[in-house]
Amino acid sequence: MTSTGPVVHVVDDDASVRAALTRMLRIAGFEVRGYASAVEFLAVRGHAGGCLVLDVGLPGMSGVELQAVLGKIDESLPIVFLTGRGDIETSVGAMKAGAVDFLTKPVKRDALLAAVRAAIARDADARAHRAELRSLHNRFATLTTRERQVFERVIHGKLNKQIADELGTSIRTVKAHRANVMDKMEVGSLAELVGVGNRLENAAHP
Amino acid sequence: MAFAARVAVLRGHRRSMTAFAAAIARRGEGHPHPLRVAVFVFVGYYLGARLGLALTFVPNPISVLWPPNSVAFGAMLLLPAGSWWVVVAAALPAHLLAELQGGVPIAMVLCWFVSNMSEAMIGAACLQLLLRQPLTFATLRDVSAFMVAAFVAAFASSFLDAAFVALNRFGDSPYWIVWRTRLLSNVTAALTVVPVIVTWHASRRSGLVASGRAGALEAGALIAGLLAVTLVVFDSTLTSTVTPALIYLPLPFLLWATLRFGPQGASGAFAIVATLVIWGTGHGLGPLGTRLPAENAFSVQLFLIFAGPTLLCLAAALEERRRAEQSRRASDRLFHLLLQATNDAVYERDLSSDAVRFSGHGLAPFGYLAATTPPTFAAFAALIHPDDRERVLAAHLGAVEGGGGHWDSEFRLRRNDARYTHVHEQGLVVRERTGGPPSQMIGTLTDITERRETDELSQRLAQASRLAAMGELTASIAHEINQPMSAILANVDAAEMLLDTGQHGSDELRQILQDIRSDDLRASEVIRHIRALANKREIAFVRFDVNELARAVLRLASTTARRRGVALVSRFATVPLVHGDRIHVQQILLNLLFNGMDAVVDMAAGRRRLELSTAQTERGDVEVRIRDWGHGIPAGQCERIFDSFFTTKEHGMGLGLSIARTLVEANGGHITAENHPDGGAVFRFTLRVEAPPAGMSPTGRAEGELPRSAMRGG
Repeated sequence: MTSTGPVVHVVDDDASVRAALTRMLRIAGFEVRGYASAVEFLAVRGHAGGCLVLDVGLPGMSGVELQAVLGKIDESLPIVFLTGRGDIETSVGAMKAGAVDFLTKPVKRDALLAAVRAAIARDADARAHRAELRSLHNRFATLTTRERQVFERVIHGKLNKQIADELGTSIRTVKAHRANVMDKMEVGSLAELVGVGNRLENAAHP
Repeated sequence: MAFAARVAVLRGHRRSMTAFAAAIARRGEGHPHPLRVAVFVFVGYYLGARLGLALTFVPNPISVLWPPNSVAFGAMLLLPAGSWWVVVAAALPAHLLAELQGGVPIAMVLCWFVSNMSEAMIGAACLQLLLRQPLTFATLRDVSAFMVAAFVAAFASSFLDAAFVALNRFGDSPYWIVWRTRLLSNVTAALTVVPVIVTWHASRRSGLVASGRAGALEAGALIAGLLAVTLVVFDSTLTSTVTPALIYLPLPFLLWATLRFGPQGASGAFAIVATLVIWGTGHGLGPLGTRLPAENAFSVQLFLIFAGPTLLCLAAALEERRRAEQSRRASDRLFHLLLQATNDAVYERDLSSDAVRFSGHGLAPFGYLAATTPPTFAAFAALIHPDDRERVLAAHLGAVEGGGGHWDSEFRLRRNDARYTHVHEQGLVVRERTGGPPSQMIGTLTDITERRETDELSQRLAQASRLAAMGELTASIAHEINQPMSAILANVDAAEMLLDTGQHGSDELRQILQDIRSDDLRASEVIRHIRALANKREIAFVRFDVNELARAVLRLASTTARRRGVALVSRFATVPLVHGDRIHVQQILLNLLFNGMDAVVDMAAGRRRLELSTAQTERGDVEVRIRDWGHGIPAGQCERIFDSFFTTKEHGMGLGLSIARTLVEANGGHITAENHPDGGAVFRFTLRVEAPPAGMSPTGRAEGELPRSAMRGG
């Protein structure tokens, strides 16, 4: 793996546990970074993609609290929780808040590796999704005000004539704007354009 | 000289005044004022002497009845010994006044005074010696002591008196005749006069036996009847010729006086009869006045000497019974008040007839009226909840057969409104004589529904907090051990993967092994630390009552016992305080009780019981014994059952008895187990009465350090 690949962030206050987990994950082929506390993890900005292996019972800010904080940040990493005790309430809460898995210590190798792989895959998906959305936004940003007005109406299923009436212009002009929008948004069909429009709207109002 | 004489007189006067003041001051509770006694003695002695002289019949120089001595005797009984001189001082002028009128020579008069006073003092001293408390005539002991004193006083002083008569050559009677006559005369007088003085003085303080208008009327009728009958029989010519059997005619009136007016009535009535009989007989009247005066006097004296004490004894016996009855009534009343105050029900079960009798308000606290209260024990047992009945009956049976004599159980009792209420029963087996067959069982029933509810609540709370604490502890232990275990596992996984890849460096593997070792050491350090923590509690040796502790433990175990249908019976002997750690002893008892419950839980109802008893051993230690009626200990395993992890039970850990032995030894005792010849096992352990040597418990372990098994709990 190269340094640009996914990174597994291990947050555990217990030095020997952290060292052992780091070592095991590294030998399994992941790039691993260890942190002794939630605060230490948060102090590092611009984490590379990958996932978080998080101990629930951290001193200071607990694993669950860190999850809540990360939930407010857009590009959060998927979390695999580790816990010393099989606390059902905590695990249910963590899973609802989007955790990938909730494993009890001592954790079995296969379970941990599977969870980490799943988390990384989920992160990769999320990243691809985010990258696509970002490029859509970038393309959308190149549209003129008129083009945006036309785009908005097109994806809501209005006919060219209706759009022309609403905007107080001719059908031909609307057709020209429409062609520009298709060009700028890099789509080849009306159906594709509607799909792009929906994704943009969903991203704006989640 | 004249002046000096005056001073001496004044001094003497002052001394006598001081002595008199002291006599007044000495007058304790119940003693009359000495001045009053002095007046009484003066008057009584004078009149008594006049009466005695009037009853002196020639040729004897001695009277048939000589009351003055007895007046002095009686007066002395009312005063403390230090004040007897008041009596002597008051009697002297009366004596001189009475005797000198009779023309008796002055020497003889003074001699008589000496013998008279000696009699009074001998009698009073004798009584003080015999009774050591004021004479009351209310007990048979009083009456017999008085009779002895009266006889001894007259007997001894009569030698002196007869000698004085002989020395003064007064009269012609021989020495022994004088002695005998005076003895009889003075005994008669003492029996007649002293009881009247003592009982009538007592009545001034406590009131008449029969008081009020009806009492006065009755007393009047009695006196009138007594006077009439006695006068007719003894003081008239009507009966002189008739059979002597008539002397019994006053008897019904004397008995009447005795039965209705006690010692006071008896002595008063007797004094009246005695006076009238002597007077009549002295004048040759009545059935006893038919012979020569001297012979008549003798008859009268014997008649009175036998009649008087009989009446006094009868009165005393009645008085004793009356007082016993009174105190029984008082204690009955107290008992009833207590019953009402506690709202307990108390019953007696007659073991021969099985009849049950409830005391006081009966089963009213449980809603039963007299008509619905069960008359037999079988009917009462039917009110016990079916699930509890066998256990309760087993406890009763255990108390009767086990020889313990006590039982203590809790069960549900059906109230008259068909609801069940929780009761606590405590009972006692009554035997007519020690070691004899039981005749009765007495039980008390206390409604404990309310107490049980609070008990259960607090027990649940205690249990919950114990569990919570236990959970906390386990969680923290789990975490502490889990961390190194997780690291070890991850390291092992890492090493394995490293080997799988085939491109490992030995440095990395060595590092991994090092980490595994240090995590392993860390885990064992955690365990060592926990053990040190658990051992931290220091043994707290104190002196305590093991019976009281055992009662508390029985209460603690009673809930489980009830749930498991096991009857707990206790038999506590009076034992000295023991030296030990209360918590240890509590744990020992609980372990042995739970062990016992396990042993009997599968047995038939009659054998589902445990008996806890205490006793003092020959060496002076206290032994606690727990007997069960289970299958007993398998042959040859009486020693092994105390070993750790040895168990004969399906679900046992084999730790309870091991812990018990460890704790018993830590407290300086020893524990043994054996099978009882009648089935079941008996566990005994001893507790020391003396404190063990400081710093070291007798097993050689330092205080505060318990063997490993002790910390694992029951």
